[in-house]
Amino acid sequence: MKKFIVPLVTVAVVASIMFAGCVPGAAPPVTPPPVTPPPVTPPPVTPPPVTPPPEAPEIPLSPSGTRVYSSKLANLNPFGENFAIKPDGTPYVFATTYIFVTVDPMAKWVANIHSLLKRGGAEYIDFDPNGDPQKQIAFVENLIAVRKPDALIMQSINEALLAPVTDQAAAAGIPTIAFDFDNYSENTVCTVYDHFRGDFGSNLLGEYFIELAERDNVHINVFEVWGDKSVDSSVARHEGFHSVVDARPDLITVMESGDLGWNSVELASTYVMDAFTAYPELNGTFQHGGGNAGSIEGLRAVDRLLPLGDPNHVYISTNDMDTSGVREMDNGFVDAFAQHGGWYVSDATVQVAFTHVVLGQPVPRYINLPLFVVTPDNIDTTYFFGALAAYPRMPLDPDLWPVLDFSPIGIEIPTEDMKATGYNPIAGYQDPTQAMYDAAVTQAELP
Amino acid sequence: MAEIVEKPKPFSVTAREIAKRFLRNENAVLITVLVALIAAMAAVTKGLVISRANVMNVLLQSAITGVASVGQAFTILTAGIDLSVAGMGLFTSILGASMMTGVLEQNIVGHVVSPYIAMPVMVLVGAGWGALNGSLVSRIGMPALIVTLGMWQVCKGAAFQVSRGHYIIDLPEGLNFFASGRVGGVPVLVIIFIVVAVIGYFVLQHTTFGKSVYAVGGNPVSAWLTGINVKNIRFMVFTISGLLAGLAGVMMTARGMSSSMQTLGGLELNTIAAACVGGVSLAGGKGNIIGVVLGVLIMGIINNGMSVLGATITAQGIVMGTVIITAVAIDYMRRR
Repeated sequence: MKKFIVPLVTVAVVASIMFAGCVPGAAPPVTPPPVTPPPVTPPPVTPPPVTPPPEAPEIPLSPSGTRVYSSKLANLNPFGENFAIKPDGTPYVFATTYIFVTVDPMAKWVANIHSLLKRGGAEYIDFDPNGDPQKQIAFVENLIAVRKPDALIMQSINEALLAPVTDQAAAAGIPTIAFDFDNYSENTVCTVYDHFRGDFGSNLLGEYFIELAERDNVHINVFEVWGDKSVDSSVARHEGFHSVVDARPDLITVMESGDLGWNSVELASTYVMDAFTAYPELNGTFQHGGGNAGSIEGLRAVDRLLPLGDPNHVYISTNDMDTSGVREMDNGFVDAFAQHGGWYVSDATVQVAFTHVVLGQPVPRYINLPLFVVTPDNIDTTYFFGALAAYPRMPLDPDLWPVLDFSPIGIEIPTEDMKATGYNPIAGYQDPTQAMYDAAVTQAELP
Repeated sequence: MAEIVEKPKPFSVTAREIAKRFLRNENAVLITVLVALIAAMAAVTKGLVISRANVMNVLLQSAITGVASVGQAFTILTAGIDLSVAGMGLFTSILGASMMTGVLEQNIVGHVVSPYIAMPVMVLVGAGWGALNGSLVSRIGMPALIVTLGMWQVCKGAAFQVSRGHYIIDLPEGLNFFASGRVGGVPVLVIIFIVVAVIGYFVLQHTTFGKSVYAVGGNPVSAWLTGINVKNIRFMVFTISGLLAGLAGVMMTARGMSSSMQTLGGLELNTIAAACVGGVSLAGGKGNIIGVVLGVLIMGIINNGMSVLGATITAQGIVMGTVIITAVAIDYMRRR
């Protein structure tokens, strides 16, 4: 019996210790940036199609050697340290939940949301369901029953499954601001997204492949690296790409891989190595998203990672490029990626959350931010608009990212002055895609 | 003649015997663990987790896993295992939603089918997948692990063929009753779980079939020698598991008022874990439905408590993994 008692006691002790240790730790310290009062320098309203970055002498280099745009740095900490503090002195509490942070871009923009919330003086309750919609539903239910935050900022893992619980949250007085993915609940206050109803830019990549094929007078045999057939957005990317390229069989042929489980670098590498070894006529890749570093490494492993302009160059494209891929574009190997969810999505999300929750102002049901196809020709321009998902060129660390100025597109940065006057910064909201970026980047027709 | 005077037992011996008897009763131990967990959670969260709303949350969040776990317990009691519960539940969910959706291009029958017709169909289709598993295991003699692992993928692929990977939404409002309806303040999904557990308990403890399940799990050769049709028992337990996976598919479809390829992901491991934590021996022949229900609730409390505490998903994984390994270790040490 002693044999039995010991493990039982062990369970109790281990469980107790674990629970005690599971209390959320303090959020990462936010280094308060210098308070720089507005004036805010707005970005150019209508830049030319390929706007060259500002003159080199005006752009200082960061310690890592990358460029810093000083006009953006002027916007540091526009919210003020006590912006999101209630009259009783307690901070506003936001709950944040998303799909997962196991891919580079998502880790970055979740970090940016947390950073911006803290910078505004708010607190947050965070939950990473790691891709499991059932866990995300349970988290929201537990918020409603126990923790009762002032608002929920949610990237829905499943836009349909999360709708009923969003209704329950609304009934309990917890507004939901969705970002990146919509939420089918009618009670969602606002969705900040970039073209999520379409193809996540994969149709644009298809068009770009046709352009390349015509420009270089080649037939491109594309190896399509699937994300996950069980994920709606992966299927949408597949269909978006094929909706364009299947119309031009004379220029584009596509071979499909198996699933990556969304973001397996190892599987991506394996699929690419196997395919390019077995079918040397392949000369293009299109990947749905996560794990795209694996495709590049797979090409390198079979000696097919060749620079742009090389007669044997493999045309490389993907949605949601990660850090290493952006560097390979800088190095001249990668042709294009569709920018899905960027710095501006997280930035606009927090601004909307503050506007609605702290200022108590109405916000539009949808804020539709532009979706970029980033190429070697426009990477500097899109960087200027904070478009790179992977942020390898971001000038500062995540806690010090500048807040973007959305005033040209109708979302002004909510400041303490606005809070005091009750000014509605989003009253003049207009579809941003019509105003600011059209000429600078390739645009898809929005839904 | 000297009078024999019985010496009073020292207190320590008596306490040891009580402890022995207590520890021999698996359900008593599980109840103690559950109560201790609740007390610990309540202390750490200053009573938040024992609010009525949160208790209902735990029950609601446990209901779907609980129903499928009862079916899983039947297979494990015969020393089998069913890794296809998530796949079967997914397929039935997609199939049912595809019959009920008002989005006609997704509707596989061309018109909206009433939930009261679609739901029994879903459950029966689940039972059909289970029967297929049972046939392969009992008639051909294939290992349950391999059969159900393969069937999981078959179901997933079949579900993809129906849904093409898209969300299926716009389901009839009548379905919503099963998701948010309450009877006497208790959610309908929880009532379904309770009913399934009671029936499962009755079948296992008070029917010949139930006794046969234990006999087959304990020693299939002896069971066969005593006249039990081992093949039929094995066939039946997989069919029951499929049927309850189909019911779990119905419940999840109602809860989300939609279906997608992400529906019921991870259900297979959750059900196995709940059964193990609940004292069902992976070697078969030992365990009961009360234990399974307690196992489901223990896992539900752990998940809920850690969510309320704001634990990261990785911390939750560590705790849950530790609990499962410990439960199985206890089972193995007891059998030695």
